[in-house]
Parts: sequence; structure tokens; C-alpha cells
Amino acid sequence: MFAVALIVLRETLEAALIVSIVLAASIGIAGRGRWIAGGVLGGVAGSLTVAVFAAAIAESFAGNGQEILNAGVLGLAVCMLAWHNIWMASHAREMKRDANALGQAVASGARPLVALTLITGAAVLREGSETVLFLFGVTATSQEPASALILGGFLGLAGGGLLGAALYFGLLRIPVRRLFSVMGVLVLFLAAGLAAQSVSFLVQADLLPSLGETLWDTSFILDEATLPGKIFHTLLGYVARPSGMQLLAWVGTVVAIAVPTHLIGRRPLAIAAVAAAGLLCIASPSQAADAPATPQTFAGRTSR
Amino acid sequence: MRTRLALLLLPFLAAVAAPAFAADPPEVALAFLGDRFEPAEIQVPANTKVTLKIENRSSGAMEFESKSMHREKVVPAGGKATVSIGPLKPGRYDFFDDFHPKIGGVVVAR
Repeated sequence: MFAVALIVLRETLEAALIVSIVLAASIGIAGRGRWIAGGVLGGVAGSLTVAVFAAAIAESFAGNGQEILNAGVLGLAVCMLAWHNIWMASHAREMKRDANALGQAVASGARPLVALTLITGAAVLREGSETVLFLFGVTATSQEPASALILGGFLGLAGGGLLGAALYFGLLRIPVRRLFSVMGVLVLFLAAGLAAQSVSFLVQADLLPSLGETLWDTSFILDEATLPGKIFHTLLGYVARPSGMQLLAWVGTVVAIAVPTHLIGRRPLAIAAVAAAGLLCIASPSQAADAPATPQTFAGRTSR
Repeated sequence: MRTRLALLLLPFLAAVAAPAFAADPPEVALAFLGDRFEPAEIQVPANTKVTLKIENRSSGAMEFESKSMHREKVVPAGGKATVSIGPLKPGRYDFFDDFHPKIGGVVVAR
């Protein structure tokens, strides 16, 4: 039972942390709750579907279907986080001014509501399908009664939710005036870490070079297999033994988001930078995986 | 004229095709039996790409995972998967089943 709880906790932690960051980062956007809940529900439904078709997915794309699906889902999340961050920066002034009138703070411009749904949906789908497969397997093989296993699953889920809630309420304690800049930095590192995960799957599928299998090894300081390691892995993109390609993706994403976010006050420069980031977003993960429709909407909306 | 052109192109074709034949990486079989990997220690040549042919012979899903080799792949119950590893520097690289973290093995590159 506790073994099941621990593994479910580990698998759901990433999604829980991402959902709480998205919740905190979207404070002031009317209707965010519905869109985020929609993403979570969509992610759960998607996880069940992916788990049922796991074997067929694994066999597609010459045995690389799973890697391409994971890389695509993560790439989509990165693009949506980038869009959200740049959009928030461009509306920071209105948001701060209207912070006391939460709910109707943002009435104009392209609202990143779809982004909220897609980010949470992708986060839940990514680890959710693995959790479902694990639970299928455990009920088939374990000696323990099903009730103990189900209880274990719920305990793990509750643990993940609790850690997510702790992060969310911790973030809420930050004064609204500073919350936007703190969230900007958090979302930036979150996106960079997910981008590094995404390219790692493409390296595994042999669609990208590794650029050096292991650049350094800090697993003796902090191992990603431990709970703190996993939290740092999700929030900052910490990898104890990074490959060259992972480092490149991490740094590239930080630059591609931070530069336009920083320049956003200076309009003409910012538009050029946002367009460049959009192009980069389309070019990198979608090359192998993404459905082209999403990145295009992204580029179309931000350049408005 | 056309034949001559074809003849001229032949060496280029050969140059393109040759590495594809030469670089066919060696395959190593790895089975997951539910309580252990078989073999638990895999010997592979160093600095060479190797293809692991993983077969999950248990009745539950398994996730082949290795932090040191940057690989993670879910293999459904009764399923098969191919994971390309390396080229690895000489050394020991651990792997485990992420769904049963105590069950693992090691790839030895020499």
C-alpha cells in the first residue's frame, strides 16, 4: 500500500506543482478556475486514453511513438508557458493597477485562457498516463487486496495535491505587487526544465544528438530520485547528470522567454523579440512532434 | 548520357548508403520478469551505440529508467520496446524499473 502511495505521489507531484504554479500565475484572470479545471479533467481523460492505447502508441513512429508523444506534450506546455509569461509581462501595468478589482482586471487583449487549459492538460497527461499504467499493473500483480491498493493510490494523490496546495498558498503570501515578477521567474524556470525534458525524449528517440551524454554529475549532492530532487527537477529543471542537449534547451528557453519579457516595455523591439521566440517555439519541438495548429495560434496571437 | 550520369552518381549513393550498413548497432536482449531483470548485468562495448531489446514478461507495466543514461520508457505488460543507448564511456550505468524502484540492473561498458 505504501509502495503504491509513494509511486503515485512521485508521478503526480510534477502535475500538482505545475497546476499550483499556473493557478498562482493566473490570479486576476477572470474564469481561470474553469479553464484550469477543464485542463485537469482533459488531462485525466487523455491519460486513460493513452494508457489504453499504450502498446499501439509505443509501436508507432518506428517504436518511438512514446518518446514523440512525450516530447510533443512537453513542447506544447513550454510554448504555452512562454506565451503566458510574455502576455503577463505585457499586461503587468494594467494588472497591478487593477489588482484591487480582481476578476475584471483584464478585459482586453488576447487572454491566455486556452494556454492555462493546455498547460495543465499537458502536465496531467504527461505523468498521468504512466500512473494509470502503473496502477493497472499493480492490481494485476500485487498480493495485496485491491482496497489497500486503491487506498494507497488515493494517499499518493492526496500527498501530491497537498504539496501542490502548500506551494499555492505559499505563493499567495507574496504581496500582489511582487507576485507578478516572482511568478514570471517561476514560470520561466518551469518552462526551461520542461523544455530540457522534452529534448531528452527526442535524444532518446535518436532524433536529436545528445551533444555529450553527461556534462557533469551532482547526484551525490542532490539526486532526482529523492523527493526534494524531484521538486527541484520540476520547479527549476534540475538534472543531476545533464546532457549537452538538455543544457542547450534549458538555456535556450530561458533566453527565448526572458529577453522578450524584459523588453516588453519597449514596444517595437518587444514585438520583434516575441515573433522570434514564437518562431523558435514552432521550429524546435514541433520539428518532430507537435501538431502544427497550436504553435501557429500562439504566434498569431502574440504578434497582435 | 543517362547511364553515364547514373554511373557518376553511383559512388555518391554508395557513400551515403555505406554508413547505414556499417552503423547497425549491436543488439542486446533484456527481459523484465516481474521480480528481476534478466540479465541483471549487461556487458556492452564502450563508445558504441547499442540497441536494447526490452521484453516485459510480467503481467504489469514496467518503466525502464536510467538517470545515468538519460532513458525512460514505459513497457506495457507483455510488451516489447527498443531503447538505443550510448555511445557510453567505459563505466557502470545503473537502470531500474521506475514502478518498482528496488528492481534494477547495471550496464557495464568496457
